[in-house]
Amino acid sequence: MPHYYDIDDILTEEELMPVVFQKAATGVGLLDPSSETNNIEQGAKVELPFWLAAELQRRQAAMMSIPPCFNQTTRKEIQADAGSVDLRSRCPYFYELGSKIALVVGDQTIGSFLLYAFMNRYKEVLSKSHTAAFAATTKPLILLTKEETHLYEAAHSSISAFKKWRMGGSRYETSSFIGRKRKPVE
Amino acid sequence: MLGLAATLDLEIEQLDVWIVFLHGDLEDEIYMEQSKGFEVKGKEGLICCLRKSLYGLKQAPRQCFRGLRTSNNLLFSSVVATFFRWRLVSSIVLCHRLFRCNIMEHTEIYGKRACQLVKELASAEPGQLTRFNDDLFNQVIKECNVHYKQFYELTRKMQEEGLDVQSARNADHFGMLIHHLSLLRNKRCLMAYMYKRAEIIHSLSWKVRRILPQDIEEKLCDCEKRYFKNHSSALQSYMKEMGSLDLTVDTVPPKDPYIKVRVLEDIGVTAIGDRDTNLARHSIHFLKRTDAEHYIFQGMMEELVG
Repeated sequence: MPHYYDIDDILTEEELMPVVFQKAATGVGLLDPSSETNNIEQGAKVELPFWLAAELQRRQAAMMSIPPCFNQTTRKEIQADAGSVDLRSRCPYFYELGSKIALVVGDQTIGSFLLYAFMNRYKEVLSKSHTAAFAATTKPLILLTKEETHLYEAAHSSISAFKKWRMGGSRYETSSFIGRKRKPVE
Repeated sequence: MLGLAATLDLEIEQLDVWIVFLHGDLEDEIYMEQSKGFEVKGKEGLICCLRKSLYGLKQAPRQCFRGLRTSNNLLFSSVVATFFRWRLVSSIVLCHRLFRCNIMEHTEIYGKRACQLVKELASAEPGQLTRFNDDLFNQVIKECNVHYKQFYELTRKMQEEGLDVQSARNADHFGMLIHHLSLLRNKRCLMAYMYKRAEIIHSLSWKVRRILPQDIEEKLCDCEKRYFKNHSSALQSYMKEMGSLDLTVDTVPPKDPYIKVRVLEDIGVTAIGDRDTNLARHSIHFLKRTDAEHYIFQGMMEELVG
């Protein structure tokens, strides 16, 4: 169970799900851009963020279907060459969302698909991060999901810590939040 | 920008070259039938009186040019540019005010702004503070109030109809449910925003002791400044109780009590040990580790190695 304040969990739940309303609802016409009144009619097809869709599904007010990042096309691409699929643009919280959806929708195949995708991509993430010269090498990073990016950074920092230990270096450093010469974001 | 203008009830003035002809005001009375497939429900028989030029009208280019010359007449908002054609047509029929109401409702999907706040946290570098986003924060609270109001209205409506709010499962119930869930969601996002910032802030008091650097202090809101002050003074009084033990120092025992440091910023003449030392910029000193440490943490000195 993720933490209530977990930022990644909150952002995962913001991903949009295709939903079909089974019941009408008044006063929430904003959710359905095609609705002319302020109500949602039964059978309306809309895209809702996961936090709302899952609760409505639980109360049988709406039927959620699987979002495009878990459809057959993506699955085939992952099977062909997992490492080169751009998961970030499809869903930056691919694994987290997948495991949440699997529980709600009851699709048995998602679990094994996620595992397959992760195992095959992990190998590449690790080897790339160990050989990369700078942490900010962007080329492999643009394909990775959030979780994979964390893995990549962790692997990179461990290899650079190892190098530092071997060469020796200063133990005291400026506190990480000071001395950044960056313009403040307005 | 549109969302902002709508919530603050501002008027946007913007000219889009693609719709430039639509900016012209008409002098003649021109009527048109409602476009096929875009009739206003229940008013199919009516025709529209044009308030603005349309493409294909003989008058359009001239009116547009006249509009440009007087330029203060180019008031039709950019909203028109972004709305679809049927909205445009309906805007001719409906009065401007009603149109504006439409936009007010079409600002953002529920919980979107709150999520933006959280995204801001996520995109910041770990351990770094960003400026407290007062504006967005207040907008989220405003959205919460709207949800509450609508929730309350629906409850009242159900009670007037003589339904049991707890057990009835009609359209009003699900409307209420969505408002309720949105409230919870907004609450979670706001709490997470404050919580994560508070986490960073109290880690600051372990690193920089009592005085916040100027550039960081600017990023905090008032209650966060109070929080920092309270937290660091609690830490200070705890250390005093422990017999003036400084808990913020490095926990790894040093090999050598003295280190060589270079001063990065002018600190001036300071009492170090039992005598005054002039810590001028770029000067190099051989200092006790404990004396130099907090200058290093604050970025005013650096340790020289090797």
